[in-house]
Amino acid sequence: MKEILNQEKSIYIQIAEMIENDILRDVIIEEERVPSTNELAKLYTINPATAAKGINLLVDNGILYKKRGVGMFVSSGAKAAIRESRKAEFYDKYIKSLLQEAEGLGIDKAELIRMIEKEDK
Amino acid sequence: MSKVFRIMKADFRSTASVYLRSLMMVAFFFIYFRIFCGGTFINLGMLLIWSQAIMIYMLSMQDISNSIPTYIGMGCTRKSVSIAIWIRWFLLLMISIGIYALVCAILYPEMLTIKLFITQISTFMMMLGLNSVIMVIRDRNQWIGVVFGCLMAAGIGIGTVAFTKTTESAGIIAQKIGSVSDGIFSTSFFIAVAVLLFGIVFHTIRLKKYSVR
Amino acid sequence: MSLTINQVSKVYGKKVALNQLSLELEDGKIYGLIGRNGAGKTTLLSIASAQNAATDGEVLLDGKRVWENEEALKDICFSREIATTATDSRNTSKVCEYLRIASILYPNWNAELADELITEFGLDRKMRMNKLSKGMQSMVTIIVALASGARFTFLDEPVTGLDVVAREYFYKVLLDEYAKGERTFVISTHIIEEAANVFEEVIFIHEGKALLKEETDSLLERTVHISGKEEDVDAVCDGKKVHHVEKLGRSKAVTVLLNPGEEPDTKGRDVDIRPLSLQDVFVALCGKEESYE
Repeated sequence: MKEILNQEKSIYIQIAEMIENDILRDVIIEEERVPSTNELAKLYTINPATAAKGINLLVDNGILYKKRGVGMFVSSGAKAAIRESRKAEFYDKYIKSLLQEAEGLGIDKAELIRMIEKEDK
Repeated sequence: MSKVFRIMKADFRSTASVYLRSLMMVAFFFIYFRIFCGGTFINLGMLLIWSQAIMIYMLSMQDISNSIPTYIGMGCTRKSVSIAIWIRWFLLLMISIGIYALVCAILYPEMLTIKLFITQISTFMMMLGLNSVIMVIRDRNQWIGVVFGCLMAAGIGIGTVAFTKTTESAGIIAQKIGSVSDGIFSTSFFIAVAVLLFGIVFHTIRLKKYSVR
Repeated sequence: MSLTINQVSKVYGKKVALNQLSLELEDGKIYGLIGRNGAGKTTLLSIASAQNAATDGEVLLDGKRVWENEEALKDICFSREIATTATDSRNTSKVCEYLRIASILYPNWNAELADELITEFGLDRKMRMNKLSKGMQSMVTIIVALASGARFTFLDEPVTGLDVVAREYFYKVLLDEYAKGERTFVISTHIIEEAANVFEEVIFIHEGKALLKEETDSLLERTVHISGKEEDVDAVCDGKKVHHVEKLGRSKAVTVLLNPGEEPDTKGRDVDIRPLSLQDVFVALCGKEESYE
């Protein structure tokens, strides 16, 4: 679990992303309980309200669901859903900035594709 | 009222330790006088007065620099701290007189008179009242307080010497008190009460807006 | 339950420590109280806990004044280093004696927690208060605050002098105690960065006034650092109040507080927009303006 928090993004978003990462890497599997807000708060030394905000974000996206009196659990199909949404983000987050930076440096598309193919080998 | 009781409970150990220290000091001097100067009743009486002065001073110092800020800092009201302190002084007065009576009864049973006790009580009250005033001034302005304290100590010292000079041998002290007219006797008692009340009022007013620094 | 600080002023001689400061503290939060030296943090906390008298204004707990109010003071604890620095005080009582007094005076004292903290901090119970080092004094203050069980607990720079391991431990125990519910903490600190994530809300005190009280998250979301060429930055910041302007050659950097929900409009200008840490936000708002021409 424990990754290091940085200040580039809101803490609650980082918490949500870390739980997502754990689900993607099968650290937490579907239908399994995720750590409680207080456990998360203590682990990362953050305010429980912030941890709760992160968890709620995932509940809103259908990644987690609440079992009354027991805690938060990973929904079935969560892993696929996370993959989907990350793919959607991928273009905005990486490709766009990649092209922007490439343009600034004067790297044209053909060269860019060559670079990617070189990495493949 | 329960808070006052809690404060007294919390205060018990530190008060007891200061009291025992002052008592030990007196016991030491008393034994010293008994062995080297042929302890007399006068020595005992004077030592007791001095021990009370020391004890009152030491405890007041502790109150002002330690106990009061600690108790108020831990959520006690100034009122309950004030009440607890004055109840404590009253109990200490009782204990002091008790010890005095005990020692007197063992060593000089013929000296035990009511008037003598009232004299003891008066001195205690007088010193307590004056001391409270000094402490309040001292808290405001250290140097004026110190000057006041020295004046009081000098007063007690001079009084003691004068008293001893005029009562040359053991036993005269009691006769002196015995021969003092009732008018003078009760006047001095009332003066002591007045000084004490003055001290209480002064102290209470000071404590009313007391701030923990 | 809430603690209301209503138009409180405090004047020491000629110096104004607090200037008609008003603040409302709700139940069940961890507040960070941040201000420069002499901004009035300690004065504010000691007036809020009735250890100090306000020159003007009042402090209310659920509508009742806290001054000389035994009932209200049961729910407030302001733990601070007492009488170790007073001019002629020789606080020669032992640590265990000081804690014993606290255990008698706080009705909800948690002796188990106190013992645990003493062991964990490695504090010597037999040591005398006036012989404690700065860090050890902080430990005693922390123990009293956490074990007091008071609904509203104030801590004034609790981590001064503590090493990094002890500080980390303190925040964990604080969160543990907080997770049990029902308690509110107000913590003042100069080491902002490591505590920033613990604070649900932050309060900035500046020159005796409450400059700002806001959820840490939302404050950080709406504060941005804009840098780039001077005319570009000026165009983007047009009509906005800028803080902490820094200039170097043709470049300019400013800090801007956006309205909640507002996105910075770059208007097609080439500027860098970055989020700030709580510490940077504080420096931008309460620090001295500096510019390099």
